[in-house]
Amino acid sequence: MTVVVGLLLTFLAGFVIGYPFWRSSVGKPGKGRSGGGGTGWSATDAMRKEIESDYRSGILTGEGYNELQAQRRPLTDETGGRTDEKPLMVGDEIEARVLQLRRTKRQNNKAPPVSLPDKGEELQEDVQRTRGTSSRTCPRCGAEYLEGDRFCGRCGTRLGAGGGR
Amino acid sequence: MADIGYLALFLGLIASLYSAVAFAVGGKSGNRRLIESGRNALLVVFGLVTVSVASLLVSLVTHDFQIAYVADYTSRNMPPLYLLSGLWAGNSGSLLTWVWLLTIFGALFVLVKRDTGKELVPYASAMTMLVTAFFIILVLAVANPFRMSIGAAPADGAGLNPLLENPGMLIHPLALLAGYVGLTVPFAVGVAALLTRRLDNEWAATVRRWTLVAWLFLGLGNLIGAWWAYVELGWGGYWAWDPVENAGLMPWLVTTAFLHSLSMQRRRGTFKFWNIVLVILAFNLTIFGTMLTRTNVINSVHGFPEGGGMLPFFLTFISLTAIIPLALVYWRRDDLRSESEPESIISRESTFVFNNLLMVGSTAVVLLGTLFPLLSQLFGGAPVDVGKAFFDRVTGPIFLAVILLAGICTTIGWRRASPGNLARNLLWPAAGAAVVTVALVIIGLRRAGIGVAFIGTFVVGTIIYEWVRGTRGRHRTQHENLFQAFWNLISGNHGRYGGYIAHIGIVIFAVGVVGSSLYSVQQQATLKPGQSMTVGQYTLTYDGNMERYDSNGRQFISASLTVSDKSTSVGRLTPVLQRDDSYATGATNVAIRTTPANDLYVIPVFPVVRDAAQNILLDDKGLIQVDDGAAPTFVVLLNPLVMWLWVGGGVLIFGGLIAFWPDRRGGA
Repeated sequence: MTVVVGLLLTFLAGFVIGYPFWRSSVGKPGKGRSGGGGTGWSATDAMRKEIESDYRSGILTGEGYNELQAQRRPLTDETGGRTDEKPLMVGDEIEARVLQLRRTKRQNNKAPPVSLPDKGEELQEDVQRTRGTSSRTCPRCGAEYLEGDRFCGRCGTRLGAGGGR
Repeated sequence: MADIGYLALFLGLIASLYSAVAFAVGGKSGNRRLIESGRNALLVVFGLVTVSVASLLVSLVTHDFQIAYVADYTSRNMPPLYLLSGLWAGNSGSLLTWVWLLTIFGALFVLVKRDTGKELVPYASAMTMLVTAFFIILVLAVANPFRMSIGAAPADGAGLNPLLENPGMLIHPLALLAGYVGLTVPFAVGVAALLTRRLDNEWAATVRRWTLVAWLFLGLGNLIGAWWAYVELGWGGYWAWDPVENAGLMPWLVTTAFLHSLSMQRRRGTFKFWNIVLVILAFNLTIFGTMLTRTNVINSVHGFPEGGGMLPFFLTFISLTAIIPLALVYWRRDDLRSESEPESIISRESTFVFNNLLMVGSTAVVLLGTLFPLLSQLFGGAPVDVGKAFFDRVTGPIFLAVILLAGICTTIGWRRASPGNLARNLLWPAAGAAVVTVALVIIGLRRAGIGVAFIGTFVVGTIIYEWVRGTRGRHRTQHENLFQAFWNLISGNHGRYGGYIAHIGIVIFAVGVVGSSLYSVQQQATLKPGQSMTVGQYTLTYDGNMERYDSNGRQFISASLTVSDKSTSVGRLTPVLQRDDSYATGATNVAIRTTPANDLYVIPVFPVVRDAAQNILLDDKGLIQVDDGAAPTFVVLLNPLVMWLWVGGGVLIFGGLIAFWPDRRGGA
């Protein structure tokens, strides 16, 4: 009985393990989360959402937000993190592209920072629309801030009752 | 059955080694077929180990006492659930369970493919399979659960130690094992990240939820273990700083630091070096912990009696899993540089640094205290135990500082917070905490309780303040009603708000620790029928009957006490002593009355007749023999706020579950 079961287990294991070698073609990653296409909601997007959430709640200043978005912008664009921006690459193409970007990024480590990203500007416009367009001046450093802001984007001063309540 | 189980495990070893090689070679060369074959081999390992576990379970359920393990840990009259728990009751069975859980995690890892971190999968899976192969070798070579009994099979097994017949037996070992095993995946991904030089946020995003799962299981296992010790062991406490208890705590502390650190790497691209070192440390602490449990290098009430032959295997394995990854860390040190430098000591980043330092520091203290008997033997001669007081006095302030940081971190800004700004954010929570603390001092709070009360209230205050601000912000800008705004605030960022709930759980837990540790009262009295004793607000009156009976092959003796709270009767407590032929020294079942304010805890000492070996003797009727005319003694403890330990632990786990839950529209 043990011998029979042992042979059966060995045969089944060998079949399953060896199957990719005699299958006619190796399966390509399909659409959806398990494939190279993805749903457009990746960890990069999750990180971007975290940064936006910190900015909205006033914990991250505008300067810090812009800097963090600038750091993430090039990689996100090139690997096609959003399906509505670029056609998606799959499997090995992504691999090669990531390696190429890493080399470029290392070489350009000391390059000047990129200009304000569209997303940051988009967000600022969205916030402006929600809060209204009237701007005011920080009592501490004189930077302009929008009605409704709780913290100054430059010096972090908490804005008083006149600041958009 | 035993042969099938052993054979399946042996085949699993071959498949795991093949899988490791196939993943490594396939990942390096980009050979997709080889990677798929390795993946299939990993799934085959899971299947084969499952067959092995199933054969042991069948042997347990069918009382196959030809197998020594079944005879040692089960008996015919065991309830079915405890029969199944026999799978992890002994050293070799629990090791087999470890292997099985490892293959489950490994299979889930390759099946749950993510957009992020796919490139790490081959190397991480190879690492997981190497760890699996090690533990299978351990089971096959040293701790074989399928070993046959010597001579004829006994008619009945030894059964389970009565102390283990508790609902905790069904959850605590399995949860701890799952926690230990769960840390293998983050470790494997970390090593894969070092090998492939993908040390940016990719690997951090990949391991976050795996780490959360392991952290949750470790937390649950430690919590259930503490509860089990409290209700079962009968000494009135829940944590004795036993070496094996510490072995479960240390990886949890490091994993807590790792989880916080991961969030920093994801947001700011910092703490890369910290994270990779923390994950290596966490994994090696789990191996160290299981080595302590199974090899008895240090005396422990939780240790398995057999298992000394495993020590060389474990030492070799820990050496490899510590030295090689750390060498890789050194080799890749340039890739571990942070993307931004710290700008100010008054910043959220700095609080995370302090948190890491405190967590690792407390782990180091616990490790030193745990190893002290061994170290003192190496240098002096006789083993010296540092004792519970050392751990309490050294770790107490550290944990208090960690809780304080949890409150400060909630309100402090990123990068560079201005002192004025910080002071304004902390003003209301600090003021509230001061008011509450003064009120508590007025009603009698003293000593360390004052510090804990202030810090605890302060932390809860900062969290509530953050929630109120966030809710009001959404209410104004998104035009949602307050309830909707609050709900959407939390559901929009589970990681953050789940973490805040976990912090509240820690504060509640700390309240329970302080109350039960500093304000516990103990009395002891030998009571004749009708006599009473007073402990705190309670009066306990002995009813006068020591009942002796037997049931299901066991003998019992019990006594009843009527409990009054300021002359109002509130019920009865009936502590019990039980004995059976396998464990003739007896096991005490304490009686506990729990209220939110305190626990009334009764430990009986019955005047039973024992032999020289302390075994309880039976009379002619087969009942427990009692000294004629002797009265029972009751040790009664009044432990304040114990209930809040379990409530706080539950809130902590709940917060972790919320943090684990994906945000709307996916997310890492």
